[in-house]
Amino acid sequence: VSDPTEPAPPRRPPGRRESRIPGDSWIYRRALPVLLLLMGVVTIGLILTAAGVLLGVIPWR
Amino acid sequence: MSLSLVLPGLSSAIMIVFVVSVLRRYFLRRKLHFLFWGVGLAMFGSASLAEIWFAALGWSAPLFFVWYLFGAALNAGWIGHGTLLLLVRKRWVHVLTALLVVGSLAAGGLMLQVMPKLEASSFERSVPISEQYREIMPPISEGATVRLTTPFFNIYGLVTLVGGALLSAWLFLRKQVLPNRVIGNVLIAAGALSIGLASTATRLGYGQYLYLGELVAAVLMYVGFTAAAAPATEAERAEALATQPG
Repeated sequence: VSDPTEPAPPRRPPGRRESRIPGDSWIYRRALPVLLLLMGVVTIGLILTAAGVLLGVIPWR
Repeated sequence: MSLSLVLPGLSSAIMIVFVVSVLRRYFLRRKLHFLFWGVGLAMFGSASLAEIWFAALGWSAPLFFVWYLFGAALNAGWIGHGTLLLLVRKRWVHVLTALLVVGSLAAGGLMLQVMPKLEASSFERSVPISEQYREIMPPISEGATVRLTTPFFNIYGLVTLVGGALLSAWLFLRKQVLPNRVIGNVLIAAGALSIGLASTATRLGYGQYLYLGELVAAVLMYVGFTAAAAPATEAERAEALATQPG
């Protein structure tokens, strides 16, 4: 995890230029967004399950 | 050698390297998020070490205290809070820091209360602790109120750790920069989800997947952290080389 909110300076000297994601990469353009979405859905599912256990809706063994 | 020994053994070895790496960064840079990650990961690792003890040497009440409090209740919340400290630099985060510390101490107190009520005679060395802790601990109605605290810490940890990693990955992806941090954050989120799924299964009565979930989580989170923390520019590489000892 690293800070994505840190504003990038407008112009950087050559040595500080950020590496960039290749624009034609199928993995970055298609696969990873779908994967992020799926993981978000699983996370919500886990949170709802934990909340269900806490509220007694799901039996706790 | 049984899987109850091998899987936690591998998880512990990875976690020791991981904790040293994270705490070294804390002592070099004095950033609070490294400290919370380091403490949370150390909790994770100590629970894995307790699992090795249970499989190799048998019952130990102090190690059950460590296993349940640090492994089942607290570690996700502490690691996730480290992520929150990194991503959000507002004063209210320090209120949450205080709440987490006070809540953790309270959970420790509740765990101490339940210790005299443990049913150690039902422990079997050949069975993973994740499959038999329900028989060892009394139900909530008979004094194990510490069990009520685990969903709170785990929901908080899941939201902050997985949510933070997914948000970071998405923002870097949208900006089309730093592919190593996109991949690193995806791996961290996947690792956290792995242990989240295994822990949820354990609480629902399927404890046989916990040790595997821990190992997958340890591997993915360590590889993800290493990828995300790798220097992304020539200047960062030079800086990293300059700060390396020797």
